[in-house]
Amino acid sequence: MFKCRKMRGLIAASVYETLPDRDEGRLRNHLAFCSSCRELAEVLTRTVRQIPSESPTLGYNLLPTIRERIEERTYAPWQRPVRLGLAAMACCLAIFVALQGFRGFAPQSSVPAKSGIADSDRDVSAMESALVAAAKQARDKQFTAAYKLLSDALDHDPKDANAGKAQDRLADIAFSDLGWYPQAYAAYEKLARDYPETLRASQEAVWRRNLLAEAREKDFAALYAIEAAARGGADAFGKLEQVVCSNPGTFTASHASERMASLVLNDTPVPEGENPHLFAMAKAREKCSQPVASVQFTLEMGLICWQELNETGRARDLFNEAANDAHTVLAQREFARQSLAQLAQP
Amino acid sequence: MDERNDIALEALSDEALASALKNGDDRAFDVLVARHQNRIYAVAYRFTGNREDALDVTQEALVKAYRKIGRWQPTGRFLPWLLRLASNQAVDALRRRKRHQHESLDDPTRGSARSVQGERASQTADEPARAREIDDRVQQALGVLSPAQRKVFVLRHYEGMQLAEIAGVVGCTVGSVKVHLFRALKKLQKELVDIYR
Repeated sequence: MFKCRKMRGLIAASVYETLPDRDEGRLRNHLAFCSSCRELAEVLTRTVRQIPSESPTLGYNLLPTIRERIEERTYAPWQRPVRLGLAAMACCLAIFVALQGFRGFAPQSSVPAKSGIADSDRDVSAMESALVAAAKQARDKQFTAAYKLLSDALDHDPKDANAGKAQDRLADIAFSDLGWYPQAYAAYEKLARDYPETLRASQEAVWRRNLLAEAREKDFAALYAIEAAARGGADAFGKLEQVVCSNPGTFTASHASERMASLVLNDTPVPEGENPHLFAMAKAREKCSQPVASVQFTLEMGLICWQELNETGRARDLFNEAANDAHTVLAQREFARQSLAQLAQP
Repeated sequence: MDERNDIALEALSDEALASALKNGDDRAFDVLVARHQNRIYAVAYRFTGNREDALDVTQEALVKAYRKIGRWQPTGRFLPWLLRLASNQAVDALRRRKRHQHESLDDPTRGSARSVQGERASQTADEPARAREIDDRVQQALGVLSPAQRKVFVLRHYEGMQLAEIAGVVGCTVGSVKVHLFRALKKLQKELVDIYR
């Protein structure tokens, strides 16, 4: 009886598979002497053979629905990013000024040190440890590991006091170090939804969120094009200029302009007393071969004078120059006019 | 360029695609869905017994696979990991249904009511009707299996997985898988004894 119980698993397995030699031998020997197990094996085999093994089929592709569900989980419907026309873009810039923030000129290779360094005199939370560890991994260029570390820490404790900081850092890694734009988009949307104060405190984060929302309309193609163009070797500047010309007056154009200005700074030292950001934009404008790209740089310089340097007079002049330039396209002209309108407000 | 890349992606193994997805290549997910959605649906259907719940389970499982891809380890195979997600999702769906005392719905694609247990099949029924009736009875019989027994039976009988693979999906030893399978077969044999007369 005990032996019969031990054979049950083998009987079930033998219905479907060829057993290993040793098990096959054991089972055969047992069945030779045990009629009840022999009958059981026959009955089960007959049952299995009579149960159809065909499976139902879907009949259509579930991918679109699955993609929708993934996007629904990324942000709530009432927080879907609004398509930013240029007027809205100018309003966003006004908000930046009101909050006395500025985008900042961040060279692409920098990794902002945003990790929380724990006070050695108190207990370190798991999130703080994760931030410290991620910072170290990022310094060692292990960006994927840093991303995963922060993602796991946030999954584990989304309500930690440093969770907003971690979410911001996660989004930053995805955007600037890994070039994972869908993930960066999701991360910034989550930052906006779950940690709005952290988002508002970072102009960089607000700007990137807007950029990603704009680029997402076309599956982030423009951002990938910027990355590819920036890797274009000697012709990187020209390729980035093409991106600007294809997306005039947009966050994408602004992003490409920043990359162009970075390239120029690599080759040209900043004179004493000059603002590096403004200088780089001016030099990049001189180097442009396409008038539409030149106008874009005029707009960028206007924004720098307005937001970073608080030189409203100079900003006004630059926006007027852009608005009246014969080569300005409609989107750029509208942006210049909206910016001038904002500057005119008391 | 995109078409060439798509063809290249489709030639990759599940594990290569999963690794690509982990590294941020969303297109790899599209290929994985196309490749496995039918299988996941079939498993889900065998668990839930109706198309509506099976569709929901399939979508939820694949969404979960996308969001949790970071937890898949490249040292292991991808399909068992995915099937584990799907079968767990299916078991959860069954639990929710029982909790809400939800009656099993008719399969809208079949357009026929479920057979009542014990009803004898008509001897003069045509082949497709007979096959449908048997399938309905089998589906009902699956309902008496425990979640573990059902998982093992569905993966072995319908998906043709080897017992060692099933052990990886279910998260138990091969010995336990064999015991679950034995108990499942015994129960099914008892439930279906009348329809094969």
